[in-house]
Amino acid sequence: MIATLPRTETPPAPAPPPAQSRWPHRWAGLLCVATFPLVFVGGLVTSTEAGMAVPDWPNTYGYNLLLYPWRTWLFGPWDLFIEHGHRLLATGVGLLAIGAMASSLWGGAPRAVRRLAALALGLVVFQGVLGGLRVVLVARELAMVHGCVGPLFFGVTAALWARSAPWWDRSVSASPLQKPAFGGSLLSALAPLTFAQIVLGAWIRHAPADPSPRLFATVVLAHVALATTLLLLISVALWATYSKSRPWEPAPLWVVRGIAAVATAQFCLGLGSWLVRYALPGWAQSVMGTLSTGATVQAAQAGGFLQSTVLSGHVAGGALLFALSLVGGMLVGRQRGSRDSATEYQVS
Amino acid sequence: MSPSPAVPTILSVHRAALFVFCLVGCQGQTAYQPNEVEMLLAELTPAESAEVRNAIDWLFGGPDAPRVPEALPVDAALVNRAAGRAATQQVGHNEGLFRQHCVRCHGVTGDGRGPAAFYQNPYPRDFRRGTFKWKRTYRGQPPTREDLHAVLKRGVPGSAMPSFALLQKEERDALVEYVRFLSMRGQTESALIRIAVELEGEDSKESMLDPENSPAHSRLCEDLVERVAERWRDANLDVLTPTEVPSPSPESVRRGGELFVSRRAGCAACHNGPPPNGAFENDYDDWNKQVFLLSERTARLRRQGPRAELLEAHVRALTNNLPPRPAVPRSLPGSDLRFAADRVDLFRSISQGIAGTTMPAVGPPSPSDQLGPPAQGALTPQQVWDLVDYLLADRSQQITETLRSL
Repeated sequence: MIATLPRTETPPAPAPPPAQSRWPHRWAGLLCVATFPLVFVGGLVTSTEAGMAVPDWPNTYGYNLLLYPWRTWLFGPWDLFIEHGHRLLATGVGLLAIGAMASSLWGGAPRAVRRLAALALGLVVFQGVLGGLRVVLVARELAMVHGCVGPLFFGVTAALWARSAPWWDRSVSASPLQKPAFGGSLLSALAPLTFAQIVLGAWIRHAPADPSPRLFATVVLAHVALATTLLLLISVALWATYSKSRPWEPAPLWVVRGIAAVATAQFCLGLGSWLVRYALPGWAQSVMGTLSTGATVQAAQAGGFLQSTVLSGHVAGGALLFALSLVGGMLVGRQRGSRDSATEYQVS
Repeated sequence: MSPSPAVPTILSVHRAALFVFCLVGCQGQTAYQPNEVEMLLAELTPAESAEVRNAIDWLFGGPDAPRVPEALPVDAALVNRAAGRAATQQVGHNEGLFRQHCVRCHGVTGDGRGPAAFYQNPYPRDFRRGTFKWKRTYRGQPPTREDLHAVLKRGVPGSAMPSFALLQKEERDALVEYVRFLSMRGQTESALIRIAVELEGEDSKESMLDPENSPAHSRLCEDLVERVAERWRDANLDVLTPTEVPSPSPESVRRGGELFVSRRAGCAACHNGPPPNGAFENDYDDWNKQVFLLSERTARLRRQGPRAELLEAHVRALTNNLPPRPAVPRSLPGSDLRFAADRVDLFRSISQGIAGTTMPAVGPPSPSDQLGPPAQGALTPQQVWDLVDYLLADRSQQITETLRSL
């Protein structure tokens, strides 16, 4: 019966999805929005060397986390303020993750949304335990893993937000017959590459005392090389969105543009991070020496506002880039799936 | 009483975490590294190197539990606060400060070979020589506590050394004390290496440096520590304080400009000479010079045949990590001045030179180091002030004066 249909006929519109509660999407949005500052504050913990400001976990100096005297927290040492604040914020995010899970279960969300919510909840628990063990075991190496899982969790919350959005199902049928997109392949590759970049960055930030200077330098070079590669890939993907045969329709366009904007800012923040942490490398000093005005550039202030903000901004920027890349990759995958099924229908 | 069901869960989480911990790989360095460069330069055998290492560990302990010999003029409580892993036992009382703030560049041993050292120029300071550039004491003398404190508080502009002004004063005090401890430890290690070479020719039993079991060797080691410590006592440190600080004038700037390019002061030969800024080939500061000498010696040995293979491998590892860099003097006038906060600082740097570098002293040595009648420097204090005024003058004025004097 199907084979007798003319080849040019468009496939039948999919049946309208059953009405779903909007609460899973709202919870997911709230979770995602709350996680971003958590990642930034996590970056601050490392930038200000505040990771060991509290000796115990899950308590804070023997107090229940939520009952710790607020005056000591707010008016005590800066590192205590940052570390305990990070714990409180993380607790709030954990509660939001539980809320997102519950609403996706009771709100009749699709299975993919429920799975993502479960993954987010699992990750936030794992991340909390990692952070706690880092303190209890006095293990800087676990802080490195903690620094990688944080952006991963943020990416999952963004994916949950996108997947639970009402437009996810609406726009899937918007342009199913478009040509395969070269830019789409690039976009799909961005998320794993960005995460690899996050792992390298976490290693650089939490490097223990063991590695030789040469190994550290090699990892820094790899980080710079991967950053350059990512910028090139993103430029090509951006160019593809402006080409005549636009491969994606509206959602991915803003994703790609967002990725391009964040990647550019992130590259600048990366350079700034090196400058505020290690000053100009030797080769750059000789270049700058010829341009010197004679004014003495003051030394950076360890743990100061500029250094902490730039370093933590770079951490948060990396997480944001990963989250956008993940959402972009998912959208490309969704369109491909839709296109493949449409093509299959046509051929049959 | 049976364990609660939560216990196995927590245990398995701990196990999983430990697995991740092992997977990541590095436990963090928990031992001071031997001074391989000096050991190789002294041509110690592996057994002799091990003896030196045992002796220095016996005297000074390890980074997690340092031992402060009685003779050392350092506060043991402050040293212990700075050593070990980063931790906080009470609100606002941070411990393990050195590993928290310094180890990334200076390394656990304070040898300047921390992981982030490779791209820094200059390389992070190697404390083991006890030589510090930015100080107020006369040449050849260690810095005072206040000198080290000032570097920590201000940082070193133009280098990767940041300002630690945000740390509490007691925390900076602890870091200063620990840096002094590492310096004295490093100097004692160098002395032990020389002793190991001297013992080489003696009979087999006495040639083993074994302070733990030999009372004679234990006394020898303690004497060495005492000699090193003596140099660091406050009473033996003379701060150079100019008797008068003349005000700058156009005339002093002019005189300074003339002096700068003159053969007598010889400043322009390095600071404003042929590119790159008058740097001389194979002219190294004291920290790079040792590695350079070692690589030169290895190159000669390589030509002699395969017996140098072991040494070559060691040296390759050392030079690959931090290749020796020739000294590049600042391009003056015009470049940033690294640590001259005021005119008096610059006066001291010119008068006493910059320790460990090729910048020589032009002023007289410390009065306490002079045995005969008061010695004169190559330049008078007034001439040094003229140079100071010239270097700190407005740049357009400097250019005018330089052109005029040429």
